[in-house]
Amino acid sequence: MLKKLFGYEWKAFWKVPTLIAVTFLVMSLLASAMFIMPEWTNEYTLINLLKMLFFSFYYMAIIGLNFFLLVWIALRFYKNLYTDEGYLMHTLPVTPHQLILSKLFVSGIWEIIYSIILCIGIGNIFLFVFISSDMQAINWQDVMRGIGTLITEFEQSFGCSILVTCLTVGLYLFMSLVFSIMVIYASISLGQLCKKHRVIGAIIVYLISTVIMQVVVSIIFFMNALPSLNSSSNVTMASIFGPSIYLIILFEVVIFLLCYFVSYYMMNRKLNLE
Amino acid sequence: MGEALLEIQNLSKTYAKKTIALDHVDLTVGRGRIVGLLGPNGSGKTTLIKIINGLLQPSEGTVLIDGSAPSVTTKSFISYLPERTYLSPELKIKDMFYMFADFYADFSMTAAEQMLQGLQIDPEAVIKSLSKGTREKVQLILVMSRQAKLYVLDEPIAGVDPAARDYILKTILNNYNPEASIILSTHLISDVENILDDIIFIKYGKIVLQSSVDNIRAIHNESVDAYFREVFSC
Repeated sequence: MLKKLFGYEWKAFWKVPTLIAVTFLVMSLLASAMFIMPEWTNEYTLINLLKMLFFSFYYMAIIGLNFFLLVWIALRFYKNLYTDEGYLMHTLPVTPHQLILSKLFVSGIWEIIYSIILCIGIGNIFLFVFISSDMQAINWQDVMRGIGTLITEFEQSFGCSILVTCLTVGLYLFMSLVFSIMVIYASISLGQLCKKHRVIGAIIVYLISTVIMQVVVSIIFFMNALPSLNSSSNVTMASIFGPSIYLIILFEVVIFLLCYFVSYYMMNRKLNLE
Repeated sequence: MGEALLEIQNLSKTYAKKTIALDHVDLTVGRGRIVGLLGPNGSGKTTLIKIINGLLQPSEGTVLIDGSAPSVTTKSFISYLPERTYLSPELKIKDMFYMFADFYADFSMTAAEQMLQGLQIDPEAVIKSLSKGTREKVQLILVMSRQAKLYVLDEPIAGVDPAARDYILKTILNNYNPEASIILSTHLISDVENILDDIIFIKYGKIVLQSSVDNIRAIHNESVDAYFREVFSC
């Protein structure tokens, strides 16, 4: 049943995020093309103005891309489980676990897709700048040597290997993605406790819980970073961020599980469709 | 009445601010019966139906459907028509058919297609392009195309014109599994009383009367509709 739910969830989910993602990628290509265009002379102020306007939109799109996806995830979860469609979803012969997991998988996959698209969109500009530069003038040996030096300096300042750093940051980013989805699910589910204005209730729960969690994350960071910052010897990025990032990941795992069981409990014991 | 399909004992539901929706309800529904759950608006009909379907948790008491409490098992053999339209607007009718076939083992695609054809509705039509009445008919087709043990129909004829009412009642009668039971909630009694075997009168969350239609006619010498008006007169 989970596989079937996943299939139907994917079908209902993919169209709008795909449209937005394709639009963003087209904007990235245009932005890249504009980046390598020669500067216009004063006679073409209108073109320069349009170029500036386009870049403003593009930066807004970069910032807004993940925000849009979170809103879409919230809308889909709310509409499918807590409005009229919920009368069908909650009377299908499936468990609340299957309902939550099917939506979590689809949303999680789209979060990863959007992260990749964001990287492609931004990386695209650098690629265009690189391709448009004078390739003949590049000394590839210098480039490779430069990369090597960069890695060495990075490892010295961070105090750990680049592989460990990448794996830790990757784990942190992945956990943050699924954690943010689960917080949305739990907030919407808790919002159902309001007799009226359930959407507003869900938004308030989300905002309050997000602020509290940000404060806790900041406290975890400073509590762990301060001793390292105060010590006079051998301060590296790893000694400042290392302990806190693992604790923050652990904190997110705990909150993720808590939010999962809140959502499950609300569907299993407190469901009250309007 | 035969072996009980639905057994409810001491069922109560209290909402916030101590609003009592159901007050120590006891009732039994046998197999192969068409039961009218009758009562004015706000009497607790929908609350009772939601509890049977596992959409609400009772504050007290037990509900057993074919021996099981509301769960994934009971959802696989209860066919439920809610008051609301739950069809996904962006899907086509045929997509909804496939969805029902995927999740409900007792769904008959042939029956659904025949009923749709009878109404000359295009299975390729997108739900959002349909009128409210057509959506309700499609939803009824989905529900009645299942060979369920229990059909729970919440206000199936409310808000539709008399011609559509006739069609809906005809569809219910022609398509339900004769070994199954139907619980049909409505306040439009005169329209349904001819198809009912039993009636349950519910008022302020309490069962006022559970009887066969024949008994009411024999004892009170009046129609169910007339008797209902008598019991629920303000």
